[in-house]
Amino acid sequence: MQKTLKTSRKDERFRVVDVVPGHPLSDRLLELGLQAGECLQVIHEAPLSGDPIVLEINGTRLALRRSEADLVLVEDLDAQAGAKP
Amino acid sequence: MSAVPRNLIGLVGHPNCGKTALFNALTGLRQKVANYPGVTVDRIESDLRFDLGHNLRVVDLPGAYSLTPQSEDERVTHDVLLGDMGADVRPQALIVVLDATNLRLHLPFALEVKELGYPMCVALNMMDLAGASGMQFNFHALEDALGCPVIPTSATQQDGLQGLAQAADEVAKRPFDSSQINWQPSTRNQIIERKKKVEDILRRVILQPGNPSAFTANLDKILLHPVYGPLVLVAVIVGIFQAVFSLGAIPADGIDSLFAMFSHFLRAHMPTSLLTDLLVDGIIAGVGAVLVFLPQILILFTALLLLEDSGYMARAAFLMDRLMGRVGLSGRSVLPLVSGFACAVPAILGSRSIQSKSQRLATILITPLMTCSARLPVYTLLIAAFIPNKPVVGFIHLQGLVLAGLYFAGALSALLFAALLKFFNVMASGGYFLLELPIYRVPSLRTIVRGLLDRARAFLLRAGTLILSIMVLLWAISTFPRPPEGATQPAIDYSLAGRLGHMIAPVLEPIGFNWKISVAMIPGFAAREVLVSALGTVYAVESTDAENSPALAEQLKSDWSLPTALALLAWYVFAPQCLATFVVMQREIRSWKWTAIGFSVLLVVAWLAAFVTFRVSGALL
Repeated sequence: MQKTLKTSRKDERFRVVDVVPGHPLSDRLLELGLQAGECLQVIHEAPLSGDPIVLEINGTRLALRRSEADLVLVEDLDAQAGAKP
Repeated sequence: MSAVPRNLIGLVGHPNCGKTALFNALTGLRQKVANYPGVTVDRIESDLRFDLGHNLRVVDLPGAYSLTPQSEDERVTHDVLLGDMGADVRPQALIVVLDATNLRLHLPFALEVKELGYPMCVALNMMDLAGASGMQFNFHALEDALGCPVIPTSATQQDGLQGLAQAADEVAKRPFDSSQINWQPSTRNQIIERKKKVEDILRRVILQPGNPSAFTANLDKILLHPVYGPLVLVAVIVGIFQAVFSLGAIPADGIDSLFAMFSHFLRAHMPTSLLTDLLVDGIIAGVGAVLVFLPQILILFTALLLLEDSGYMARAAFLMDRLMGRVGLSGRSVLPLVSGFACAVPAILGSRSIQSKSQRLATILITPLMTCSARLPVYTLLIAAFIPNKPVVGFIHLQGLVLAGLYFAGALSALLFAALLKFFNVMASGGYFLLELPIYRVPSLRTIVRGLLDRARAFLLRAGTLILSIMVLLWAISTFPRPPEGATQPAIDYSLAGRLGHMIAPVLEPIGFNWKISVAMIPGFAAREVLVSALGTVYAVESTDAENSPALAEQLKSDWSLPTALALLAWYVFAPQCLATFVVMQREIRSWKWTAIGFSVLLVVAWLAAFVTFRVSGALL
């Protein structure tokens, strides 16, 4: 199965592969810049439950629940090799 | 309206592009606030304050990320631009506001708007922040790419405004045939294509990238910290309440005594007549009842505007989302619910930024449970009369503890109600939460003052006209028919209101309310605080200043048992006694069914809560 942002943890970095279509927010996520090839980092998790999370992508900070983060297909980005996008 | 208003310029942009600050900087203080047809979203228009030889009017459209709407706010912008709201409100040309510090996010919207064909110019806003972070731009390249004038601006520093006004004036002269607008929702491919185009444009436009979010990233390390974050949030909320109740009480008392003095003056200098009664008991009491809440509401709104304008409110939404999500709401419900502590009317209006329909409906339905400032006079009167002010622990006294308990009961039951709505799966679609956390900014004084004026005006207009007319109506039904000669009971007893009160008395008797409370309850359904003056009338207290009068409290103390008073307090936590709230609720959710359900459920729960309180306290005490 393809990896999504659902189980991502703070400080982890990823490269976006795709956004699953069909959800009311799918196209909005694309519009906000979550598109194939872009790099992002999980920069915060909410207190206690760790849900929602905050992503940083190209200088934009987006808060979203893990259930929506599940729409974002990603691949791991090696923390050492990954330069700032 | 017949003619299309000429020279109307629309200001469009993302929610966090500084659009409203720019609008305020471009226009004078005179502005026209109206409603769009069919919705309660404010349409704010004003003339440009620059001398162009003729007037040019600007309309501030709600912030939108794209033309495919995700919330009521965005739908308004979509409908206005596509002409679905009618030709009257459609602008002739547009100023597209872009955040210079985050062009990658904002540019796709400019491209999308451009596809509509409007004559437009671009305000490249927040240039002060972009410049401070070392960013450099090639403006001509951006003009070439967008095919329209680009003017660098800073709303907060008042930079570039004259140039923007002139550019807007130029483009507004271009002919535009709006019947040619042919819009389809963007497909996935179009969104991806636009993004590619943006990357291409950015390569030519951004000469020197900077890091404008550095300060924001550092501040978020504290404000979103798993431990410090929630602590700061609690401190902020406690601080706001402290300000509302300690600072707000001073002008509120002043306004109150001013109106009392005015009433006394009229009573003393006008002949005893129906006209005097109407003036004093109907109109002045009505206006006073509205104005007395204004200071507290303004303080609360100042705080909310500061939180919103600085960017903190989005962080509060993030921190609270989990708790809200458990009961079917979202972090976006936080702002409206906190506003509900001032007044449910603006709070319900504030819910329109909530994306999910079910979350918005649930938020609106539970908002009346937040303890609004109109409950305060009732709580204050009853607590002063019936709760001894003895110390409990340290500086905490029983009276304050009971008041805090009532606030807590309201907020807790709001969450419980939301949980029940979720449990019974009333809300069809699932909820979600997606929110941009904007860069932190120093709030601009102009925006705060302007926002405050808007809200004060909206509150006075909406609540004022309604409460005033209802007060006059209530005065009439509490006055007519007049008592017969030699009547022994208070005059209200013979009136229509008195008869209605006697009619509902059997229903309220099991919860410990005597017929006098029932009679006072009738006018109290218009607005909660009216109960206090109505009780004054029923108990024939000779004072127009009933709220501060010890006489009424003494009277109540001798007439009611403690369980009755406690039951009335419990009743007031839930009772839907505010006409304005339900008028606005109906207009916002456009469903008589849900408005009726909201009203009846609260009424039944109020009765049950009062019943339990009356019986339990009766058995214990």
